[in-house]
Amino acid sequence: MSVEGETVRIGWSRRRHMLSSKISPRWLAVGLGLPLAVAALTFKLDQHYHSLADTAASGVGGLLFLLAGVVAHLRRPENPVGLLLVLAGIGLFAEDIQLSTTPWVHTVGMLLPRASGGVLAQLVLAFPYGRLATPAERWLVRVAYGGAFVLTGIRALFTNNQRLDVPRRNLLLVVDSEQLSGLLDRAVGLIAAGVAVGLVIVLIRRWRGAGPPLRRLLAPVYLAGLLGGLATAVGGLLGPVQPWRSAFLWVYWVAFCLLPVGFLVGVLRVRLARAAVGTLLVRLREPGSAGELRAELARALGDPSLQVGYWHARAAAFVDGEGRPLELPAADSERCVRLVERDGQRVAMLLHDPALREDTNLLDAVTAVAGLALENQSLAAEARARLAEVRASRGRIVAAADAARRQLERDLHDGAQQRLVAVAVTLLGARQRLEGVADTRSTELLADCATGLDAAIGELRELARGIHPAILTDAGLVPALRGLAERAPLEVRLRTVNMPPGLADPPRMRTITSPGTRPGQAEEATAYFVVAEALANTFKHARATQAWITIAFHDTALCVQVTDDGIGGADDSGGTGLLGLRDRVSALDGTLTVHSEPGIGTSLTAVIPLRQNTESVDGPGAREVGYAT
Amino acid sequence: MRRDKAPHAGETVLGGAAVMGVTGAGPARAPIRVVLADDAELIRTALAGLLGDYGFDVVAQVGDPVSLRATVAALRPDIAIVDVRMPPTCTTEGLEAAVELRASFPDVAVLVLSQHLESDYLDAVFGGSPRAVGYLLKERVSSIDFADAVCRVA
Repeated sequence: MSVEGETVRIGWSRRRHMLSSKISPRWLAVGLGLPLAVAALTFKLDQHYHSLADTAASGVGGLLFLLAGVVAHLRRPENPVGLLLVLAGIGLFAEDIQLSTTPWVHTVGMLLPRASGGVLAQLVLAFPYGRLATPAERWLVRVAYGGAFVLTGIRALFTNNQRLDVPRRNLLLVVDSEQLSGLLDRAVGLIAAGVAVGLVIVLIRRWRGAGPPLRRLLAPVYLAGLLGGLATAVGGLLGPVQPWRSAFLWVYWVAFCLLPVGFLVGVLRVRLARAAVGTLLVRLREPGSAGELRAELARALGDPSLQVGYWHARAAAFVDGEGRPLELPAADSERCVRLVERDGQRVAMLLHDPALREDTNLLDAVTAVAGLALENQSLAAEARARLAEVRASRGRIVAAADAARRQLERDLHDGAQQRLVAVAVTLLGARQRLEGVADTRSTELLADCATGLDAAIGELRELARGIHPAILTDAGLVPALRGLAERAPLEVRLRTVNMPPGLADPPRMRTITSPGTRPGQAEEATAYFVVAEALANTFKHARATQAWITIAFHDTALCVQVTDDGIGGADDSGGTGLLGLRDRVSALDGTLTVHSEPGIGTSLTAVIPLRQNTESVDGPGAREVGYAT
Repeated sequence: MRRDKAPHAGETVLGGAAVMGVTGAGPARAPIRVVLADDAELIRTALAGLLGDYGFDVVAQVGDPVSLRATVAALRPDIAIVDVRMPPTCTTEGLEAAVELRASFPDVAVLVLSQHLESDYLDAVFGGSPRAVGYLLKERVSSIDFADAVCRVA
């Protein structure tokens, strides 16, 4: 078995991340980050310029960045977020190198006073995909790096640190210009502020466009960032009033330390989702419905918006679990498509949140585990689609047959019956005129003619009624069944249950023809023919003295039951009439059951579901199917 | 399909018969004025001929409920003979027209002709008023008692 798939982002080309995975964040953290941390913290402690708390917090924050980066890289080696976290930690410590009084170390430090700025911008923008998605984001990062390294490097050429409390020698000093240095410093600050505003805009837009899985990844980072930002803003507004300012400073440092933890949690959450694959494997042992499979997959992938499309080979299209055509998202949609194939055959498609691209391993695992179940559901969906087609066509066939019968009945009524009645009337006129004129023999012959004609008219009328009773079309099911009961050779009682007000007993002209309260034509005709056939069987075989017709109108179904007090023992499957009726009833998704116990009687029940819209089968198209005369 | 048993004899159901108490096989003095409404022209013509033979005065023949109403309003016949099935849908328009005529013109008797004997139609016809209304199975018009029925209803 092989499960293959590929992830295609709709309307968006695949882009490889720029950072090479050759650089090992682990060794960077140990080989560069830790020595830098030791050096930076030593410089800070030596000079007593910074408070102990400040030093401790920045040290913990930086180390947490290194640690989070290493863990993230170990868990997700292909995701550059781990590397970026380590680089951010290194940058944070590198910023304090300038505190050194050793000239060359101080000079190197003078190039890195904002070393973390660019990396942090890239980290925030690339999280959690590890890539920069839009040109705007890439420009933002370029500007951040430019401010952090290029402008600060140029500033080093004009900055003389010999005049500070702790004099340091800047080996790069070319022109000692406090004014130029200050100007460049302000420019770097402005660029940093601009990048920060840009970041906030991008992050807000990203949050608004994110689905639940992505939001779950972003939330810890956003919370830490929001906390730090609020603390800074409120602290700045309050001004240098003790002790509130220090309290807000502490909040800021806590938020700062939480930031790498937030990134790590985001990456780990993707990792944790993989435990769900095991659960999925266990749950899929029990074959379930397409809806259950979708729910299980959505749970395992952590994407409630997940859609599953099954490949319908004959229609060459994806359908949903019910066999209905699946609506594909627009080309510019952010949704991602994952094709699932088995043995080279396309089986299904997962439409998922783009955040799941973050964890292609999880998608691989889930599709591998669910491959068989998806294939089963795919086959089932195709079968359901075919069944739906067959059902619809069976319904159309029954409706067409009904329409043809109605038309045949009408043609008989308008044609042969009318003609015969007209002849009978004319014959009556002739007999009236010949009365007392013609001889006895002629009168007898004419009387025989009239009798024969009457019999022919009667037989034709019964034939037409058998084909399709006019009263069923004209007045509806209850009047038609009442007529059936009245013409029966034994006592037949009609009972109605829950009859709609429009069909209330006794009917009046205005109501018996109102179609609004009546079931569809197909349902009425089926119920009528079920009763007619059941009564015919009762008369022929049951030796009954009494029969009962019960017709119950429910919201969703029409129930008809014919019961007799005959000898019982009727064969459920016997009789082509009954078989044909069973087909008719099931064409409407109904059921036909027969209970027949010897000595007790026979009971036949048909439950016919009522469709909300009878047009699908019984529509004008079907009605136009005429009977050629 | 099962063949229903033959209709009972005397299917002419006459609501007003007992009350009217009219007898005789034809009009005695002033001819009874009749409006015939049936969209089947063959039968209409045959019936008109027969009614003429019996001595009735067929003042108008119409083929649909609208002209039936207009004609009855204009001519005020003694009786309107109305087929159940009439345009436009050819289901029970004639029946509805009959009930309407009874309500609008109480002095005009109505005889409903139908291909079928269905008790629901009877209920509809006799539901409003049992007087001067009749219901006749169409094939029975060829029997001798047709004229009698028309007379009695009128």
